[in-house]
Amino acid sequence: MNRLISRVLFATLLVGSAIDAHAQFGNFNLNKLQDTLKKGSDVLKKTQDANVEMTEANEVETGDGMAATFLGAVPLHGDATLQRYVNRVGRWVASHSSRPDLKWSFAVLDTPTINAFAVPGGTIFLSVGLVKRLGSESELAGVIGHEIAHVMQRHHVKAIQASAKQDLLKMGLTEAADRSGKSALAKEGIKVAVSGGMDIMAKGLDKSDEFEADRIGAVLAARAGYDPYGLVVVLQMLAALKTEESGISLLMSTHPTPNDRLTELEKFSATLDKYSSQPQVEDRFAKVVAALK
Amino acid sequence: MFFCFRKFGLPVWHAGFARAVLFACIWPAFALNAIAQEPLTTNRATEMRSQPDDSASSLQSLSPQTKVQLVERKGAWSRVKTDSQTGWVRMMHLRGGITLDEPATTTGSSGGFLSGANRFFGGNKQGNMRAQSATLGVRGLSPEELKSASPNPQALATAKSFASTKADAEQFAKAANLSSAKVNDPGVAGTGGAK
Repeated sequence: MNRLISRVLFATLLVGSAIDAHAQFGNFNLNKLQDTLKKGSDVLKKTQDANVEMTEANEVETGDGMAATFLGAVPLHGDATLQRYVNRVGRWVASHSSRPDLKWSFAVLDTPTINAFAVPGGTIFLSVGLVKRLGSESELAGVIGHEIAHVMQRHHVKAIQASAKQDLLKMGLTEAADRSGKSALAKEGIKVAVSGGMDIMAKGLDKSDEFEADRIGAVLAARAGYDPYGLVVVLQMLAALKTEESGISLLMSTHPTPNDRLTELEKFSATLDKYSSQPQVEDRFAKVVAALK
Repeated sequence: MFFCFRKFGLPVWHAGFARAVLFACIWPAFALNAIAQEPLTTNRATEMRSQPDDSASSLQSLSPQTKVQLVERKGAWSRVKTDSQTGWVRMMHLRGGITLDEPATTTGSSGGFLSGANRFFGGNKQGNMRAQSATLGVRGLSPEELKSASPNPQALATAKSFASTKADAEQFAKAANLSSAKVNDPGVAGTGGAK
């Protein structure tokens, strides 16, 4: 705890001196020291509070840091028509979420791997390998709906916060919230959050979060006017892919995740059925995919 | 060409394997879904019907673990082919690949849609083996490489430049005859039955 206190004080001094750029270091001021100490204890008090909440600005900044890292490893797909198409479909589905006014963006990555994922703040990635596997816009809407649900429910943000045992992250986020991300400490906090976020991407979210994202994803697709069974088809495709394409059926069959997800989603078939006659929108989707090189 | 093999991943027991792969490759892309006939399996006893409707006549009673090929789908129904017949089966009565009556593994799923940022990165041993078939020739995807990847904010800016707006997206939806529906989330108490 002593170490923590001294770190908080050091950081506060740092921040304090950065803010008061006009401060004269030669002119020692007792009032100023007291003020700084008080600031330090305030930060410490907030730090000890277990419920450090990331603000929406923090969330966006963290997500952007993560997104930039992904894009440093995997290139964006070069087809502008595809990028615009996915953004229009995605934005339409996102407009039906509980966070319709986030700055949503959807990016197709140029990799044949089959995946899609979201980062905090509203940036969603899909691999072109996955897009090419889909058969209709309703399937795309289902996948995108799943990812939007993660952002809507702040699944990654909560996981980052939960794993944020590091004093630095807590302090940084507290600072970031107070000073809108301007201070050195706030920047450090975001950096730690980005790194924590990347760890969560590699480790994975809780199963319950994934099941929830499937349910909400199907609901969002239905709200956007699509046949919600699009998501079911994608899960079946993934489930079939797993055993057959790997050539290691036994190993894979011990890990039947997409089938588990189908079984969970089946609990909500009454809702799915009700909207199953809504359009799948195949033609428009097929045109965009057919034009891909 | 490699891509076609990987993409369609036809079952090894498929009789016309080579011919089918060739066929798949020359098919226009809109046929992707139709040709990617992964084997599905019934996970319970179910009826194959003449129409996508519970009241339509039954063509065949399928026992659990029947392998079927997907032909097309319509709403809650999939038209599938068994060795002897083609007909409609409730989509929710089908699972992918081999259906094991085992409890779900407790392995945490991942942030990715495919249960796999893990798999996307190369991940664990299972993931690695899986990833090899799917990520051949792609660089920069292992966790090590991702860690050492230098952030590319410029690419992010480009990605964001394609973003749509609420109004633009709405117009695009209308062009495909999509209209918003009021749908209660069945998982939230008070807005519909969860079971």
